[in-house]
Amino acid sequence: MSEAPTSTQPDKKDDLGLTPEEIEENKKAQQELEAHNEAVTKQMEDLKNAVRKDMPFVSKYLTLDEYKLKWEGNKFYDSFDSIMTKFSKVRELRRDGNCFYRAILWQIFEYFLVNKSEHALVEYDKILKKIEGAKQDLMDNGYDEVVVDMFHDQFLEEFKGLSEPKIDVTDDEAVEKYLEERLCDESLASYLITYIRFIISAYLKANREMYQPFIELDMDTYCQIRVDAVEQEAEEICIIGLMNYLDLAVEIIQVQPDGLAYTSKIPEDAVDDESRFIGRLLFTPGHYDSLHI
Amino acid sequence: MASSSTALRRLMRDLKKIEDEPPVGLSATPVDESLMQWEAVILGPEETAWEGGIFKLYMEFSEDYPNKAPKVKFTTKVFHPNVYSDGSICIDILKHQWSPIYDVAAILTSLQSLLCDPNPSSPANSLAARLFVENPKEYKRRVVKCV
Repeated sequence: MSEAPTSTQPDKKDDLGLTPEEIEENKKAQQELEAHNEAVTKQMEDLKNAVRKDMPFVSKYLTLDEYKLKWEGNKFYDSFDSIMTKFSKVRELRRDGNCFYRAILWQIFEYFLVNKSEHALVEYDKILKKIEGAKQDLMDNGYDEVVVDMFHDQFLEEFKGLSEPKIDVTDDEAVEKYLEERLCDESLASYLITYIRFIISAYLKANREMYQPFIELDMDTYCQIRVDAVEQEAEEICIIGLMNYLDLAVEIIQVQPDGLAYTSKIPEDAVDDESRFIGRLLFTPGHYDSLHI
Repeated sequence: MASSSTALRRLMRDLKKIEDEPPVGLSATPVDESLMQWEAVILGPEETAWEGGIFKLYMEFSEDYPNKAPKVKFTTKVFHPNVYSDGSICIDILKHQWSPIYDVAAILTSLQSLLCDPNPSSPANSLAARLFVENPKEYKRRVVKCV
């Protein structure tokens, strides 16, 4: 009869070779880590909820005077005086990483909903054709049809809807409500905004020789984590990409610490003469709002 | 119009894709007809410490999918810097870098590569994260043990 020898070392170590003290230490470190991560997550959630509660996705019109008041005591305060010489109203956008996208979509949709002039209709048809072809462009640039389909269909449906809306487009309130139902609806707006992100990515990838020199990350990674990701803010290259792809123009008015305002246009030679759509955005550090004449 | 049915439509397509073109080393099946909960399996990548491991996961989708990320958890015990002891996973693409471009197959593929390529800067398991950086040999031993 033989008995297997059993180990009865007093300083028994676990299978990792750790002493009880070390195990206890690890346990403590793990608890601290989990508490820390939980606190960070909660803080981010609280911040998001605070933004959500205080701020609609797109605000009603504010006069530039009202908007300026929010900047009292700030070095950018005086910039609004020069902006007021050309613009009179602002719509504020929620700071959720989608401000540029939502603002520009609001303006594009509003323009083609309300403006039925001959040149607007020509421009509308041109963009419609571009969007109809965009699905192929997305697939040519690595997007899976399964992923793209619903976003494409949804965007196309809404863009087509602008040509024959079932509302009185001369009624400002009805127009505002129409746009709110699309661009302030969390679910529908997500589809529309994400689609814009996709077409920007596809455009940048298709023209990577031209745009790669302006970004540090490699193009595919950049598009994946900065453009396609749903909460990432638009950088200038994204705006250029969108304007070039849809052949649209935008004017960005940027406040300056010296109390002036700097205007940049994409494309640079865009003329704001009402013969075409031109987006008008107000850029304050890290954020876009929608400017109106 | 976008609604809960869009999540369902997308999940049906995710399922069809994963059935038609099964990715190497992973599988996923809905738990029931609602398609909102899935069970998935990832095989540890070959020629790594994870080889031979069979890791089960549970995925839960909301009606906001694909605009919001699903909740994904390991149900198999995993010793990994970015996996909590309850199986929850700390990975950018399921948080602030979520994008609707990720379908079920893409999420699982990312998790599969996370196995061998942890991100020690956002740890969920402090011991695993510490060993991964300070004592790779011991880290590997521990990984092999859980495989």
